Amino acid sequence: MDVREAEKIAGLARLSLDAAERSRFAGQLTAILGYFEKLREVPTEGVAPASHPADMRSPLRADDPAPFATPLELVARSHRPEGELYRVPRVLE
Amino acid sequence: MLPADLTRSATALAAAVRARRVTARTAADHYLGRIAAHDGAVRAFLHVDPAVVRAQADALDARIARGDTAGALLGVPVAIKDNLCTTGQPTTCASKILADYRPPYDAHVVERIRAEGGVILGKTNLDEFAMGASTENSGVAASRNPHDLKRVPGGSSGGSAAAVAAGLAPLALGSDTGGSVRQPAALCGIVGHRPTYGALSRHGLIAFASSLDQVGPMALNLEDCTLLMAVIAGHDSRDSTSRPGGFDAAAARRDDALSGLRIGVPAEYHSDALDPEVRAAVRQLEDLAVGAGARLVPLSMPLTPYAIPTYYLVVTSEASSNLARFDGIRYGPRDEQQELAASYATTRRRFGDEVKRRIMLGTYALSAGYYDAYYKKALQVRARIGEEFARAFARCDVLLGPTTPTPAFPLGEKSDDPVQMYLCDVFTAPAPLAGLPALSMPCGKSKAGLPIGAQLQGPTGADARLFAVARALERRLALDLSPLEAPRGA
Repeated sequence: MDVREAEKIAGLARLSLDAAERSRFAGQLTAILGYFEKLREVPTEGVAPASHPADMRSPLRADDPAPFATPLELVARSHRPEGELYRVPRVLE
Repeated sequence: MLPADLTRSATALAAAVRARRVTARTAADHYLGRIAAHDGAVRAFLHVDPAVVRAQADALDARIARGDTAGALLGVPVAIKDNLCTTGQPTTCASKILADYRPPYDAHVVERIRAEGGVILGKTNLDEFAMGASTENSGVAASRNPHDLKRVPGGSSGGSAAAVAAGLAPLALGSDTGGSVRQPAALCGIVGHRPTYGALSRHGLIAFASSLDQVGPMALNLEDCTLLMAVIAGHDSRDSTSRPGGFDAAAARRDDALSGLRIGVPAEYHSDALDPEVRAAVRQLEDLAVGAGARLVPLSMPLTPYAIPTYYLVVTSEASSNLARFDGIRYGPRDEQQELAASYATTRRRFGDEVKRRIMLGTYALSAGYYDAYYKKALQVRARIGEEFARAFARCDVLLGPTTPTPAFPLGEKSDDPVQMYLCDVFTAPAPLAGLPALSMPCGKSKAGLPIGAQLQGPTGADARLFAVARALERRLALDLSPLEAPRGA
């Protein structure tokens, strides 16, 4: 991963890096990705990907609404609450 | 001060409070005093509010005075890793992005502890967002190993492990994504358990990698760990991955677990890279088990060395998604800019280096053009690792091996080399990939006096079996499991 690619990935991840960080992370991530190459040694032709532990089955319950008890308290802990809303910087011009 | 026998056993402490031999307030004051005396050196805690602790204890004493002595943890203080939500005390994940955050609700496991008469003692240090194996990635300060203050306590639940080992708390909760309960337990000489995925609710555990995260109990000995596990285990409808059924504490206390037990010993757990003193301690444990009627089953699990790259691809991919929520809008401080995108990016400068590295790795692994080569490949190897465990457990009841390749390493030794730090997880990363329970127990010390941990792994749902086997081994080992009187190596 070169510095330009590190900058692109940081942008996708909404991270803002300075020049020293871009250079440091590009080097470290290259070393880590190099280590990950080891996985190519494992044959996986036709193996179904496991995004969860093997025997995961989500237990189901009755479809009864169970609202969170104190939603306003959650909002109140944000940086700029306004009643039940969050105030955020302008999204569109 | 508490009598010595009560500082060695949370179970005895709860019984003494119930019998009115000591008050909950005396217990709370004892541990607050220990923290005041020793935590300046150990730095296990991020937040302790003595007034909040004493208020909980006084409320319990008032209830006991009325004749109500219900509660398995009556009057027992419990330290909580700072990625578990607690009302009345901050929850920060040791991150500047959650500085001073105070959640309006308790995590399910914290609710359970309070419901059983436990006292929430304080919040313990961790690698930021639980990303690390030494607590050196904490956004506040590194914790120290109380057995040698120049060494790491392990991580990411290093604060919880150090607190219990140093006698600053009788019990603690950690969380384990790839070894974060077991590795610090091993390095600090205590017991730590990673439950079967779904055995404990993750409600109120701040998400790092959702398909791997589990809360885990930490204690000085198996009986105390059983006590805590029995309190916190069980179904919770607020976690859609929570499994039905609880923890069978009676089975965990069985005393004949070694008789006829088939113990799998994979050759890969004893590679040349293993520290000779760790190897010797684990071999001694195997001999003890055989002496008590168990049988060793030699195995090969050749995918073991591939668990780390698999784990780090899964964990960083999930983390890049989970940590997107920390953008200054709903939680924590915001570095306000005119534009929303700029506001996100500026606020997220508060993340430390390891968190940024992992978010970038995950973003990269999930990005167009790399998804198949990295993320999908890792999920396929994950499936194969699960199959390898299934084949092993067709031939044995538990797997036994070292928890860590070495005892505690010096502070700073690996902090500039992420790959070396990742390799600390070589024995602990496989079980979470398959959702399996795994427990670390003390099994000896190095010549330098550093604790060594052994790991037991079992099939899905076999948590109680692991406790029973470890309990039988603990009794035969007869190690001194007292907390340290004072931290060493200042």
